[in-house]
Amino acid sequence: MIPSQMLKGTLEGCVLAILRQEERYGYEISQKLEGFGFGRIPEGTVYPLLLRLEKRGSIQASFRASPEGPQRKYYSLTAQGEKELTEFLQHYRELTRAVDQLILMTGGYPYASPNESTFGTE
Amino acid sequence: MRRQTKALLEQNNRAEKTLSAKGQELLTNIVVYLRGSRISTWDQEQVRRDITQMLLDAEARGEQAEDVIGPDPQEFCNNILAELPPMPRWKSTLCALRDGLLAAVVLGAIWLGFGILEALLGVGSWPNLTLTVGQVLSGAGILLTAIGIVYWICRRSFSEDQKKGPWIVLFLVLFGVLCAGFFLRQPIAALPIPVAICAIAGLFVVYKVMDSQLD
Repeated sequence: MIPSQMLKGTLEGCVLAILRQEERYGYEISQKLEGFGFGRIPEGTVYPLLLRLEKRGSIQASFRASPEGPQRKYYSLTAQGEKELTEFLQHYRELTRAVDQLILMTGGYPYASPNESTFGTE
Repeated sequence: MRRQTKALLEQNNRAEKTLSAKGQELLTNIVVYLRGSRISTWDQEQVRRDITQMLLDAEARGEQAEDVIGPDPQEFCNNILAELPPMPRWKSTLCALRDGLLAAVVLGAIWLGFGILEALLGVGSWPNLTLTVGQVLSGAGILLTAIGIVYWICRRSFSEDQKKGPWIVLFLVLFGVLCAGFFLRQPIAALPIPVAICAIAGLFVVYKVMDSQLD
């Protein structure tokens, strides 16, 4: 389980990355996050973040009826969102490189396999 | 209320009825909590639509509301409110003024009704209606008490405990206000009935104009 403090700075970028592939609705986004190993993140946790991104113009919403009946709000990336995602990916790469470098130089990951212990140094 | 906000409100009312009883209760608490915030009615209704859809979707999947919004609905609401811009001070002042106008129209209509009744019974000062200090004070008191009750209910919509203390205080304040209305009979003004009717109708027109432009 990833601590919520660690998630806070990256969740926005991760949601943008999920929407890069195709438009999705809130529950789908929370399911995708869980599928990628983020642990259980209820739709209600993702919703305020989606509101923030929508108000900022990073994503846009459209309504469509779902096969189950109720209307669903589908979110897709805007041009501004794509730009923000590119920035996030650049910054995140810098961060992971720096953190990996630091961890490797200070004793490596505990319980890591040989492959994992060199991850990020190539 | 603007036309698009009213349409969304009606659409939300219809959608809410399709939720289970438990879902409706939770949604009501959420909406009451949001009503006490400084975000616009349009934003409130958009959020209400999204949450209703979330809950309907969850019920269709056979999940509980807690699975969707988490164990603490108040925290969920606070997280939403943190993302929405509060109305500018001038706009929230105008909204408060509009709501106050409606209350004034209702109180004025009651005053007018009783005044006409007194006149018909021959105990009033026909063709004039007398406005007393007590009536003004009790009207203002009723208005402030009503605002206080709404604020109290909105802030405590998720609260489980049923404290009686504040309600007793409120009841005593209201009783005092009504007593003031009954005993302080010094006249402030004497208005001819047609003028009083026009004044109240005028206030109602101002209210309607403001209501069509705000929210």
